[in-house]
This record gives sequence, structure tokens and C-alpha cells, in this order.
Amino acid sequence: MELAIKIFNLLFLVDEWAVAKDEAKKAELRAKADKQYAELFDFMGGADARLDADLAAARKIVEDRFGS
Amino acid sequence: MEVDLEPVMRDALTKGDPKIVLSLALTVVVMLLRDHAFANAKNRSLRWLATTHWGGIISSMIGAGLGAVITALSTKTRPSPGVLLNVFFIAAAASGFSTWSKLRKQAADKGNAPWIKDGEVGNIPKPDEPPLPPPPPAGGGAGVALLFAGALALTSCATMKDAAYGFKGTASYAVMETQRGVEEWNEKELTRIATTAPTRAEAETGLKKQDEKARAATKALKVCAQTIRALNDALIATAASEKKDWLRLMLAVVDAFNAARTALSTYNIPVPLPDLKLPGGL
Repeated sequence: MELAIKIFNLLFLVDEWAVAKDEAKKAELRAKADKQYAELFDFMGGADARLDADLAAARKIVEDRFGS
Repeated sequence: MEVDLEPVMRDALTKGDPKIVLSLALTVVVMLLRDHAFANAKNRSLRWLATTHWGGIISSMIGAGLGAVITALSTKTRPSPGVLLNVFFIAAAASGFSTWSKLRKQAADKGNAPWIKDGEVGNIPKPDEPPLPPPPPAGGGAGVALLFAGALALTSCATMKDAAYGFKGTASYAVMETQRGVEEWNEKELTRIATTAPTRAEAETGLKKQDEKARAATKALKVCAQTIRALNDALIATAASEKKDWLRLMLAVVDAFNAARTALSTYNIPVPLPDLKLPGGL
């Protein structure tokens, strides 16, 4: 259900784009798209490091439980 | 020569155009000839067309191009840019399909295709068959071209350009949120495994498996991000061509190639294209 709502929201946003005739609104939405795009690459750039950190934290728990 | 891209793209995207049907049919015929007649021909040129990947691209171009040429000759008109663009699309798609089928056959012959289980046809060695040529290397090139041309076609249609901008934003958001979800789930699962596994060995195995799952999902999402990058490049290229900013247009094309290269190398697919990184970039 949550996923369906997310998909619906995405479709709604794309549709909002397609029908936006007002240039000011378009510029605002473009700026928003650029911001989301920049955020995506910032976030994905750190993905491997975060996965490494999560794995290291879990291994630390295992070491604490069973000894090194 | 100044070309207004929008009518070109509209022309290229026109459905049911007999020129497209003719080009498609001729491409199929040439690709069938390539797989059967050319591969066994004595003529070196024909064998080259059949056994090398660039041969595959050229033969698919010949097939698709013939459709445009025949139409032009029959109507005594020059092929429109839209028709030429279609030739490009069809050739890229045919070449990609040819690559995929060859790689699939090679994997099946080696018996290591993940979709083939023990005992099925693909696992039986075929020593009598002549060895297949090495995997055609231009699948990546065709993929790059198709990806960029498709994105450019979409963004060049004024009605779709705004939707493409919207898609760029919403797709970026969706990919980022999915990655966030993957990381939250991964952290939860890693903690659960680390705290509940009965033995150290089971904990280690469980952690490794979970980490592999999370990294596989991350890889797929990274490829999605690179696809969005190519879309962004197409949007930049469209805007640059409108402003006649040829340097920016070239940089956008180069960046799209790099996006495709990065996406393919995520899955260790070699890309036989020079690294086109330029200082500055986009």
C-alpha cells in the first residue's frame, strides 16, 4: 500500500510537470529537479562507505559476543 | 546546417510509418543472413561481418539503411532526418539483440549460464561445433548510443521535455529513497544476525550473505543513477543545441558516454571505447 502511494505520488509529480504551463512554476520545478539530482549523486557516492561501516559495526557485535 | 530537432524527433517517433516497417524487416533479414549464410561464407568480408561485433553493427546499419534508401528511391525524395534517426535506433537495437543472443549462446555452451540448471541442453558440451568468435565488444557502444539517442529523442520533443525534467527529479528522489530503504533494512538485518546467530561461524556467514544482498541492490541503484545522469545529459544537450553552445553539447555527449561506461563497468562489462573524460566536465 505504501509503495502504491509512493508510485502514485511519483506519477502525479511527473504529470504535474507535463501540464505545468506557467514558466515561473516550470523554473521552480526545474530547480527542484536539479536539487534532487545533485542530492542523489551525493548520497550514492557515500553508499559503499556506509555499507562498510554497517558491516564493521555488525562484526564488532559478533566479536563482543564470541570474542576475537 | 541548422536542423530543428523537434519535428525530426516527432517524425522519428511516428508510429506505423511504412519506412520503419521496411527498415525493421530488412534489418531482420540481414541479421538472419549474417547468422547463417555469412558465418559459413568463404568470402573474408562476409565472414568478418558475421563474426565480429563491428560487423554486426555495420550489417544492422546496412539492413536498416536499405529501408531508408529503398523508400527514398521509390518516392524520389531524400530521406528525412527522422528516417535516418530511425535507422540509427533500429541498428542499435538489432546490434544489441545480436550481442545478447551471442553472449547467451556462449554462456550456455560453457554451461555456466545462471538460468540453465544441471542436465538441461545448455550444459551439454558441443566439441564438434566450431568455436564462437569472442564476445562482440560493441554491445556497450550500441547501448551507449541507444541510451543517449533515446533520451535525446524524448527530451527534444517540447511536450516531453518538461515531463523529462520532472522525471529526472522524481526518479532521482525515488532512487535515493530506495537506497535509503536498502541501507536501513541492511543495518537492521546485520544487527539481527549479529545478535541472534548461535555460533560465530553462522554469524559470519549470515553477515556475508546479507552484505552481498545489500551490495547487489546498491549496484542496481547505481546503474539507475547513471541512467538518470544520461537523461540529464540529454536535457543539457537539448538546451545547448537550442542555444548553439556546441562545446556544452559536446561535453554533454561525452558525459553520457561516461555515464554508460560507469553503468556497464559496475557489472564488469568491458566497454571498448576510449575514456572520454575531459577536464572540468559537467
